[in-house]
Amino acid sequence: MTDAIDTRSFGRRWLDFWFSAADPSTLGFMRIVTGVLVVYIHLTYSFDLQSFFGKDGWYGLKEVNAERTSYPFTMENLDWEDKNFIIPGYIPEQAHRRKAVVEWYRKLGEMTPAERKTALAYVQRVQDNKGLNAAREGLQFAERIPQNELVRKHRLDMIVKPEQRVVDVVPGTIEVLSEKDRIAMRGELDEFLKCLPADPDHRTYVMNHLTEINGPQRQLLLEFLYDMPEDAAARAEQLEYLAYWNNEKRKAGHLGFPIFSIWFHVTDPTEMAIAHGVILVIMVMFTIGLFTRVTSVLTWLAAVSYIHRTTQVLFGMDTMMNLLLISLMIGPSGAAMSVDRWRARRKAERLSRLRNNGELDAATQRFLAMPPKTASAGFVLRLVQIQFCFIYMSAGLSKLKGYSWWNHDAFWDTVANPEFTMMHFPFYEKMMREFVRYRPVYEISAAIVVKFTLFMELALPFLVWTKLRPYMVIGGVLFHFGIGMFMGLNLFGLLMMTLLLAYIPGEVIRKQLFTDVKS
Amino acid sequence: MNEHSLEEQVLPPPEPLAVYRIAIIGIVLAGIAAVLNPISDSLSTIRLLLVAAGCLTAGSAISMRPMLPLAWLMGAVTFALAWPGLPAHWDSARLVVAVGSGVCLGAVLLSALPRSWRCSILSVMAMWHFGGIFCATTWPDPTPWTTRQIGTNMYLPYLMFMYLRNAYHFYSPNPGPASHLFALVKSVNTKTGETRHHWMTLPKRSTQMKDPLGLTYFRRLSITEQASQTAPAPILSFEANDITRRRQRVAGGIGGYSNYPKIPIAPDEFEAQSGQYRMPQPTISRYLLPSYANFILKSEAEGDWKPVSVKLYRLEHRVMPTFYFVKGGDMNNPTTFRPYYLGEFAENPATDKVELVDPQDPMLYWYVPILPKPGTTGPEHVEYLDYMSEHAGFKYDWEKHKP
Repeated sequence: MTDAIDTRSFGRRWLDFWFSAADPSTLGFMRIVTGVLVVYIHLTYSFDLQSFFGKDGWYGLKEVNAERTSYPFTMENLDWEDKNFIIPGYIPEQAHRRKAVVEWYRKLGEMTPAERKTALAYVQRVQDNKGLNAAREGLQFAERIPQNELVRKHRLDMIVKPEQRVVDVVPGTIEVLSEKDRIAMRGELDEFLKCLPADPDHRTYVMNHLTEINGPQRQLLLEFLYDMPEDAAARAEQLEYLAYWNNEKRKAGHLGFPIFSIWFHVTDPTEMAIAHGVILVIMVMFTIGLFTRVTSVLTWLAAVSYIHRTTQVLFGMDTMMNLLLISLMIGPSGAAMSVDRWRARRKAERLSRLRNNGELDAATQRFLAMPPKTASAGFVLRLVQIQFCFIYMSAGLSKLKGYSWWNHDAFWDTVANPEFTMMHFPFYEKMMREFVRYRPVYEISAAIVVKFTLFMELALPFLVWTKLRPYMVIGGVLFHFGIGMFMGLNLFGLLMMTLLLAYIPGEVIRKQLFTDVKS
Repeated sequence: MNEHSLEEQVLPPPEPLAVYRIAIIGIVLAGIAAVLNPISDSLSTIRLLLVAAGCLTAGSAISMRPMLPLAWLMGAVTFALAWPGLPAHWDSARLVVAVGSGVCLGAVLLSALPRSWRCSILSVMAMWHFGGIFCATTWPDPTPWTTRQIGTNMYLPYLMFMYLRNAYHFYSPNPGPASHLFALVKSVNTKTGETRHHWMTLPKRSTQMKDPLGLTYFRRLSITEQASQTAPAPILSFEANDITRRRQRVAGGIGGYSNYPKIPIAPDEFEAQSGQYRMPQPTISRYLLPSYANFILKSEAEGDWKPVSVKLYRLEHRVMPTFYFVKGGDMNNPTTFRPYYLGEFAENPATDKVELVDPQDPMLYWYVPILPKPGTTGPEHVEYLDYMSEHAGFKYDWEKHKP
């Protein structure tokens, strides 16, 4: 026996792959399961509405607003070198050093551009010197010069009068300069030292900062200092931005995150409670499939509103929930197992009986028997299936980088983690103690579980497209059941299993659910 | 018979005119909101309601018969009018309606095209989407140049808007330990002037697991996890020298501090020296921790007791190695916790912001050890020396309050 030759063109096969008509029952069932979980997830937010999403929550409104409106995204150009894409070194990370440095920038900003250029001429000179470590040596030399005016003058004189050198070593890069250049340098260094902060600690922090940033960073910083706006308000705003983000607004490709949330705008506790209540009602409507086309969009918008407001409380589960909601929003998830379908059936029956003197015509009977297959359902199920493969493949490949997935320690680190597992239950702890008592039993079990994990994550994306699909789906369900049970990630596991439903034909789901129910 | 036509046969779709009438109501509602925009800003609530009703009506009209290009066009107009209709401070909602308008315009084109064209374009869009997902999966360090370029220039707004940036690198490269957040809150009685201290810890199963599936607890675990992202240690910076010098003084080296508790550096065999200083990532130390501290200071107020400062510690809870567990080791023994001091925070009256009190605190970001008492053997009942309590200046009762 030979397989039939597929004579379809590539284009036809391509479109058939994406748009094969599918029974929307799969999406309908996924909607119910997702909806129940989504309602649960958001219901639990009721306990923490203020602490998670309120104005003064764990991550304050002020911080998230700053992030979404002014975070600088720098864009790399296509060349090997990109001046704008240097990791900026405008300010040091430690608060006390940052404060000193930003204050110095403010002081420099008050000068005229010409004065500023003069004050920084020494830094520019050592920066321009191509000698290895020349800039560093030049700046360290400047740092070693004491603040006392007399001593300073004496040290500066050493640059031009070598015979006066009794202490300190003048860097080689200065030694090789012509006398004319030395005289010029002396003046520049004098101006530079004068503009440094008077406070010795602050002075040190400024010098340290200039010294420890690398050449390109230093050049970028100098250009920033030269170009500071003359208008005091604009300059203050620029420095404030710099102090906050350690970057320049003008260097950013774009500012802020393109995100949205009702909680950026509704902050009054009572109003928040009302909005939260309305959202829960919408989510229930979506779950039962009432006005699904509209409520699915609203449910997604609402769920992402919580997500975008405080990403600090999220974990993998929220990602999966979002993926499901996007799919159910795009696809006809209300076309089966929904109030919408029930209403449509009633209407179709009524119309048929009106048309046919109380009888049901054949078309209506077919419509009542099962929801019509649609290409849009097939398309969305395909999207979910491919997305699932991406998730597994990425999770599997990234694990290959970790030693614990090779020596099987990952098993222990996940099943014995006290925060995630049931280790706080005495029975579980006792069971684990028994389990690890015999090393071969433990080691072989760990090997099996780790290898099963890697096999599922790396093989499913391929084997799920073959005749082995049912076995891979069953394997996936078992895998997530295990994750839910032993790693405590029950909701994550349930949502992953819901994604796996996309591989199950609608007919199978209906058969399993409604075998004895007259559809 | 085509299944689509089956549905259309038994349930004739609404007349286009009926759909358009509803869509026009949406346009009118959003239009009124837009017209009110320059008139008064005080009508923002009314405008919001008008926009919401308008968008909902237009969306409902589209859902009645999604293959009508004109219905989508009307939807696009409604969303476009919603933009000026929304109050300016609802900027993120403006983003949503702008995207909504764009989607509707795209749908006008798609619904007007023959089926084969429509399907072809949709399949290309699906491929584009998965290109973005591929970028997201390759975004974590080390990020390839192609991902940086394509991801940032082509996909970032889309992935962020849709919340699709997860790389799915679950439990990799290695499963890590969970973190706890311990906060020692100092409060002052506004009437008597007395001070008191108390510990607030996160996450805590006994009080913070408020739902049967433990989601409220896991959310808190995420909060503490956020604070665990650390930056590479500044090995060669000037500050690194200061940090080490200050730490050695606290440990009782030459020139030790007289008014600071003596905290030893943990021996190498207990915790590698290189891992004892863990500076949080800049976004954590600059924005997240002050925000956490602000929340704690505000939420821990009780009657006349006003919190004035809070000391934060992040406790990494190491999973006990199998070897010790077999011998009867306690998974929750205090010595399995690695506390890192995140600083003391208080409101700065000059800026009205909650800030780090002393950025040069000698123990800032250092491991404050909880060590087995010298001479104790066996993992079963390890007696310990809790330097975290000593550093905080207030004892944490490990027996009574198991994390």
